[in-house]
Amino acid sequence: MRGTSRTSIAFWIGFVILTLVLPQFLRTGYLINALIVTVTWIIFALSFDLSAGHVGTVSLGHPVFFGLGAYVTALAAPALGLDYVGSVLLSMLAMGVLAYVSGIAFFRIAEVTFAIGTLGALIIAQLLANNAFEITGGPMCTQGVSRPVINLFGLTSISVTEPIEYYYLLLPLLFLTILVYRRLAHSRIGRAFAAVRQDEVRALAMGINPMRYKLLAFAAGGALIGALGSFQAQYITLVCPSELALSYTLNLLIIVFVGGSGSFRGVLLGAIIFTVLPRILETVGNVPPAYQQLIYGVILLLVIRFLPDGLDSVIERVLARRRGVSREVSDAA
Amino acid sequence: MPIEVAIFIEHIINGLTLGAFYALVTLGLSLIFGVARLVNFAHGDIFMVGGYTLFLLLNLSGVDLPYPLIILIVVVITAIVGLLVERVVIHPILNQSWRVQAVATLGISIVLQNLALILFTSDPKQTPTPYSRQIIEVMDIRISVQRLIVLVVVIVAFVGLQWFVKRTQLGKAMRAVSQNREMCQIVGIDVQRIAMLTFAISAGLAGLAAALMAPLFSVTPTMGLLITLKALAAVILGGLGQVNGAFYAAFLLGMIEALFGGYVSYQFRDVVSFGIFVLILFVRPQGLFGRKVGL
Amino acid sequence: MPRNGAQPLLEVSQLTKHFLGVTALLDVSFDIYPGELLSLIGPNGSGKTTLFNCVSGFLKLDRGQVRFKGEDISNVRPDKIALKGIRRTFQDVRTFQEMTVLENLMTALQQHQEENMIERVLGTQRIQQFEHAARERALELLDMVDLRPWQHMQARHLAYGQRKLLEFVTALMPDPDLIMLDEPAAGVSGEMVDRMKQHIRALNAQGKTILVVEHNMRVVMDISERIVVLDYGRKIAEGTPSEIQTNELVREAYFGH
Repeated sequence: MRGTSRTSIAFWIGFVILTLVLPQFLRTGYLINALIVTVTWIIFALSFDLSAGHVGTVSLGHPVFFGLGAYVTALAAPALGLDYVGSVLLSMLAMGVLAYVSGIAFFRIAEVTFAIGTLGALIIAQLLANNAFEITGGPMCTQGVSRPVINLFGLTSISVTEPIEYYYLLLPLLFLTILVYRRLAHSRIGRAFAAVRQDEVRALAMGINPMRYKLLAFAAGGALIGALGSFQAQYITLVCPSELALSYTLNLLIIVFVGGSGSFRGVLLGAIIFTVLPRILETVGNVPPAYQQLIYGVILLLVIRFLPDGLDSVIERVLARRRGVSREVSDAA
Repeated sequence: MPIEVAIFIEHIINGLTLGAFYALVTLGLSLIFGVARLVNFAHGDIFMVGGYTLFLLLNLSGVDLPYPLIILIVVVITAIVGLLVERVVIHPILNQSWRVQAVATLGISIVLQNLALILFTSDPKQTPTPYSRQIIEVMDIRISVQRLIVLVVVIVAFVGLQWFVKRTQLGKAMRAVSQNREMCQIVGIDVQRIAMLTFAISAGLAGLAAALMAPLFSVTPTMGLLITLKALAAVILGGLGQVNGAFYAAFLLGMIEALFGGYVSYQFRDVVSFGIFVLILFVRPQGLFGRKVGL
Repeated sequence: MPRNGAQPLLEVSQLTKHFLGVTALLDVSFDIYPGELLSLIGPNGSGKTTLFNCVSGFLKLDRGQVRFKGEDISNVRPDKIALKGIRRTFQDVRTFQEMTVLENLMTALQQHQEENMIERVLGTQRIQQFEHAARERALELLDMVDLRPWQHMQARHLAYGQRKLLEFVTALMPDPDLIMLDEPAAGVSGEMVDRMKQHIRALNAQGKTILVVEHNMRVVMDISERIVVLDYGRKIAEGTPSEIQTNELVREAYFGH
């Protein structure tokens, strides 16, 4: 299989080492925080892309899993006396189940109606979070979420406070997300995903039950995003209704569709551009956020117009040309 | 008249104006879907552009334009914005998948919202007209004149649109395109031009809605989202592509919102109207007034 | 042709389907026996494709029954019907456009081999053996229709006739008991029609049971053992090609009024 060729093993070893040592070169809390933001969006966007890019079900409601995952950790984990790992698993499980159950209802509706319905669900969730003061604190947010503590077999516990420690805490979730993404996208499951995305009717005629695969991608993505929300709650120590905002959906669309939907490399590229570019704009030109968002909006429109398969399609074309050349060479030999 | 009855009637009138307003926004969305099979997620943002245009016109220094003229200018300017959006963004992707179209119109939304944020900041802008503070009282029922204007203009606009679609050459062509695009292309109707004009009309209707309704609340850069979603809800409840169904659904939505907001909980009125919308989606994915079509 | 005492492979009885008040099929009954090649013909709008969709599970029946190998499959989901061993093609050629030719074929077989999500995620030894077997089978079929040189090309880059061939072999991938072809000769050149005809004949000669919907009468009369004629949703005739050719009702349906 493609996934196990020698070059790709080398790539992954390099990738893991890079992610492990990278913060050692970033001295300031500011830069490490920037790195955490980048990794957060990589996880978020890959989980979103499982549905949007692979199965083709573009939900506009994915931030629900992020925000509610954060609220679950903020509100339920202390009551249950859970440590970091426990609270992340709780949010993960809760959001996985929520995604699965809501998916059964939402996948009854198709295509653009599905997108609109999920947008409705997102707005409902945000309005609820904003107005249920007694539970969420409304616009005043749920404050004072405790910082992560990891219990080691009840013997001793480590508490996390420094940005760099947070980074290493987030890293396992990144690896898990990539693993899930790769294993789902590059297996028979991935082929079934592609079949459902490209032609649902024909997929049915081949014995593929589209509902099963839509639910699988949705639940897996929801669970991963829920875990991410849990981390976020314990990192910022604050959960606000704005975690459920449509702006997160828009960011996901920008990352995934500018980078290249349905492609690991594309999504990675999109997330890095999306999170690194604003830092550069800030330092170089002191560009305020509204201008940055405007720039992203324009970039998104330009990419859709001229590169409908995202920036990744350019890389793919270049690589294909090289591969083509080397194949000709080896054929000749 | 007992005060409870008067209040009830006031809620009903509020519901009607709200419904009329949603109907106006919904009509535009529904026309575009009919002609171009495209869901415009930036429709509410065009409404927002109309709101700021109104704000600028009301605050022109030294000039005091009459309100009807202001309405006309707002409609023309939003129609031009709609035309530009169609030419620059929508036109090239008309034959792409719904995914690409959805992302593109959301992209337009991002651009318009942030332009407004840069130009006008996030502070809400008030756009009072001479009529929005005038209140008439009939038998204990208090109604703002602005609301009456909304009701009257929307009814006139709807009748006008019906006439336009049924009687004029362009209107008939629009109907033909929304019924069978391929056939129209074969017969030689310029589908591209029809789509372009539909966009302009749709945006103009959103502008009209803004010129009428913005005086009753304030204008912010992000106001488009809720409006888009409510109009989408009405379009879907009415049955995608069924212009009249969407029109009735809009009134239904306005009425639910006014009554629930008035009697049960003002805070949760949007939750309830969207909640009902999502529930109906599950039960009748084809909408309340739509027909199920087989393979 | 009813073969001595054999049980029919597919039994369609009193199939009825309405669309918004219009009767698309009314009390249509016929059987297909193992190894038979049966054609379904009729003027446009006579209900052939509706019947296809009802048998393959894409449309709900309003009345009647479909039995496959003696089992009632009326209103069973299309994916389940496919896995029971009925494969169909579509009139408006449908291939997975962004997949390569080879991937198209592999997709057609995988659900028949297994559908265990955990094994698939892990990519176990068993899965890899299945993948290997699927690839072998796919290449064999590609050789049959001369598409092997295009195996790594995306389906959307193929010519129309090639896509038609691809869809044809895709239906053969799981070696189904019943193959349903929806207008296999429509929209392709004369040479391609002949190739398609040969392939269908060869397949039938190997003992495959085939149900064909076809417009091209030359093809139908050439390949069919038995023909069922529909008109306005009703079965008006059934018989061998020569019987059908001389049938008055059929003539009237096609040329009459």
